[in-house]
Amino acid sequence: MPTISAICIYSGRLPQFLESLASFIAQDYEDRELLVINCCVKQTLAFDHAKIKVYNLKENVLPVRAKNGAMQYARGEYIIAWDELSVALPNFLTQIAAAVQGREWAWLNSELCLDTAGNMKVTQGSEFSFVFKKSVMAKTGPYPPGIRGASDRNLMAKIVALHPGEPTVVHPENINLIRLGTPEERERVMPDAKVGMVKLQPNLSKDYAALAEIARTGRREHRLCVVSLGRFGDIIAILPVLKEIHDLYETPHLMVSAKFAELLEGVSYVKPFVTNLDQAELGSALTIAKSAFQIVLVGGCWGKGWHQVIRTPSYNRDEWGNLGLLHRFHEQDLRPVFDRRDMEREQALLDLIRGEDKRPMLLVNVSSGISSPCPECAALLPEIQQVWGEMYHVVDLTKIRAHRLYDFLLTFESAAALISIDTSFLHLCSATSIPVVAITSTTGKSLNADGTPWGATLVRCGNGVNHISYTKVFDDNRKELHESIAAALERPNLPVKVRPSPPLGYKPTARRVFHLVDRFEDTDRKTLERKMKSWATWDDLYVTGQMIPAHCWSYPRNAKDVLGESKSAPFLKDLLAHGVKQCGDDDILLWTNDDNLIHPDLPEYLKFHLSVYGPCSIFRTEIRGLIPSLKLTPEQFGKTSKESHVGRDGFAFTKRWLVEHWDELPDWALSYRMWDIHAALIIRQFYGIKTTNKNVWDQILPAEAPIGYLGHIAHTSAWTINMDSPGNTHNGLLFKSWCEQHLPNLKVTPEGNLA
Amino acid sequence: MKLVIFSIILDGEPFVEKHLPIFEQLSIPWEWRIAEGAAANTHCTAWCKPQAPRFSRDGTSEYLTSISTHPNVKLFRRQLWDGKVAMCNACVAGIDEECVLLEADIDEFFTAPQMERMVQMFEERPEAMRAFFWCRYWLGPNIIATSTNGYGNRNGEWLRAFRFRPGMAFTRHETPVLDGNRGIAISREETKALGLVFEHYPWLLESTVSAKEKFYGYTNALQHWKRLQENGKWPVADLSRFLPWVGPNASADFVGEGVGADLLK
Repeated sequence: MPTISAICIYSGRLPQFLESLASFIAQDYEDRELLVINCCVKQTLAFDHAKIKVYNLKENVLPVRAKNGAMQYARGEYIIAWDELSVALPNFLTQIAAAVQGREWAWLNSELCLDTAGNMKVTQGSEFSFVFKKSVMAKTGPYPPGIRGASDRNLMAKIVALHPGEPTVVHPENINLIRLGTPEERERVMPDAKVGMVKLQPNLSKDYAALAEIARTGRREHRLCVVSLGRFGDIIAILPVLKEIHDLYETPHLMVSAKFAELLEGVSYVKPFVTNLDQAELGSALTIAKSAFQIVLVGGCWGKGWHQVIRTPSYNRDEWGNLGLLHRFHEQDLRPVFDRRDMEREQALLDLIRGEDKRPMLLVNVSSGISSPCPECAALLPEIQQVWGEMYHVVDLTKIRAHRLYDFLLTFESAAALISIDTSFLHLCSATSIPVVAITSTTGKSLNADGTPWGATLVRCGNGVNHISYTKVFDDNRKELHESIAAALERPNLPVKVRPSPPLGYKPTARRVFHLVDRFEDTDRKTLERKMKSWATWDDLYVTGQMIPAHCWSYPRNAKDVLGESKSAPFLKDLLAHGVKQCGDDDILLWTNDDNLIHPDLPEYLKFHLSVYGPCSIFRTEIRGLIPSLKLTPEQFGKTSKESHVGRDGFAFTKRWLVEHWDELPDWALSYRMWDIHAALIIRQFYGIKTTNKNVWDQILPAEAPIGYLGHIAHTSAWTINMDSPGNTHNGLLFKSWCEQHLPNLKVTPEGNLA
Repeated sequence: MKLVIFSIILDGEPFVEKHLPIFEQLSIPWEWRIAEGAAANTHCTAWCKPQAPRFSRDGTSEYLTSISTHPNVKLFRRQLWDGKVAMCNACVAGIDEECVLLEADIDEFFTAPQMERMVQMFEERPEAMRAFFWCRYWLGPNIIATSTNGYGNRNGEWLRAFRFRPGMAFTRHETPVLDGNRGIAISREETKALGLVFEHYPWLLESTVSAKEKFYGYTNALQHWKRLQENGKWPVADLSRFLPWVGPNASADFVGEGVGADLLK
């Protein structure tokens, strides 16, 4: 393959250049080099890479002179100009090489342009899609003078004149070069203010390939990504959740730091999305994930750009809360599964550890904890050896190196117990039934609501776990430690029971979403106009089959007749029965008001939510004035409104859940107050979430879907006109009596309103 | 060649449930594409009364949902379409092979053997691009229009079958115009000679008459229709005495007690 030399004139536009640089590094074409000519003399760029050479100029020179000077250092057979304000997808240079094969030049006729608003469109190929044989310069001469790309274009014209030919036609789906910003936007990019030594840190802040795909098709190809930039233990801690998502919905992408990606070689049920970002950059990682995925879940709990709501005393439990499965944290058969173990490696490791010693093994790591170090704990090892070393083979795990962390699994399965401060081992052991003594930290600046420190690791499963905090392990002559070890050694290390995966061929994403709405004739023109704006959003989903309409126009019971109301209104359960008749057990019934705008991403989100979690309620985004574009992501759409609304505008259930919980649902009258909040609290109760007067306003996964999926054009609600109407009173009394039984601490008025 | 049948529907009971059992008797490849929803009074149906956005309210929606997973059925649903022509085009968009396209309004029925004969007709006549048909136009459970070139079978009626090629689209629904479909048409005399006369039930039942009164704006249509049903003197040489909108040369006759309704069973 011929070597391609890419020449980049750097003029100080650092953030964009770092993206451009990262995209060069990510090229799959091997025989390449990049010459970076730094024309921004106030900066000295530092970067060490086998295929990249940086030349820091000491004096100001025109770019054309810099380019001509660079030619003597370019060792490639072919030359291409590399734009500091562009990102090349990994296949770009391969495409260029294929286009120019056997020719003097090639010019790809199309590029993509990504403007600052995030819009991407196809544009004509520029000078940065032109590659030429270096030897032609013997006839054309050097780059001629010219600014703003004119120099390149002038050379191009000379080359094409000498060697006539046609540009290479590139189909839009095969375009691999993305210009950052429109021409006007690029003109306005100013050099970075940094002065002096600048250590380059290449960074791709977006999934540009996914963005190009979205621009082309209008759809995100990838649906779900969990972001977890933590260390090995943090990743292992959430593997049970990832497996549930895989088994019940689809194989999730998992964004991980490059340093820890090797762990995922041991599992088949996630698709690694490897980034150079580390744990502290959770906010940046989320931005990247949200640009490429419809559904993004946070698998970590701290980092810049992320605010963690603390709900439990331990951070790994709160991580499960972020992922929506806090209510299942204690399920014994939800374990991390390594289904790509290398048994040869594991056996070799076990043999190495065991040696000739036939005694049962007591595995110990009390001196190497990276996430929560405890230097004093190292002193425990000799004591453990002294007390237990006669009957047990005490193994210092810090002395053992494995090819992969999960290669310890057979050793864990064969040992009598594990004593560890290292959270990676503590999380790994939950893939087995090894009895555990976990010595964990509770230090940290964060506090729970009750003032206790937040941050301890709560080890799941294993076969019984004794937790001891760092602050207490040395107390009372290590009494608690040794009692815990003794207790652990009493417990057997049995084969672990893992929840079986659903049978092959089960496709929960084939669930249908039925849109259940109570309909009636609207006589008021203004009301009809308002509602028709919402109905247009429904039609877009109906016509593509993403939602099936289940509108109900007639009802067996009417609040007018049953409750003495002044106007007609149905009862919710009659409406639900109408929907239940039409759908299958695993289909989803989505109820909304008849005036809600529905975000196009909602059906797919519900398929995920109902598959992995269960029912949910959905808050509204209140709209005043112009309706925000539904091309925004739900999160962006939700942020267009600063208003909070405690009511719920949507509910989603599977038929199966409804049928099972039918009798728990009161007989609410629709179109009157409190039934929606009441229903939301019943759902929260299902997930074990205790509602307070404060948190009733909060979106708590999985009881409530993220905000932004339903819009509502502001108007006066009919039920607020007479708060003591029979319908309002009926629902209020139902709510009050339910709260007295299930939430006695919730403050409710005598009429059954939230206090 | 495949037979693709398309229908546009709003409140299609009792007819909508009668089609699928007929199609399932076909021994040729077939597909039924259905667009449901209200059609705005625009384009070729601008003369109709304006419609509020909605789906069917007579059980048609629920029925269509129940057959939506049938492998040969494709549904397209909007509460409000940009006219009937948009509904037709939703049905034909995405057809990716040459086929015989049959417009089957919800109250129109060919038998399975007739449809197979129709496809064979197009295969035998590769130059033919579309076909016209006579129909038995029912004005009640017992009454058929007997007009020749008059109401029920006017000149130029009924264009119902097309040789469809991907990319073609309707520019009109009433009367159907399929852009790109140019060339020889098979006349209704020729199709009649092959036995291809379909049953058409636009005025069979009181419920359908009321719907037409609302949608098309025929003033007092139900009242006029009832008078025709109660008529005792047959044949009727001037149908306009009963149904004022039918125009000249319209006649009708009595064909036997409940025959029309029986045919639907």
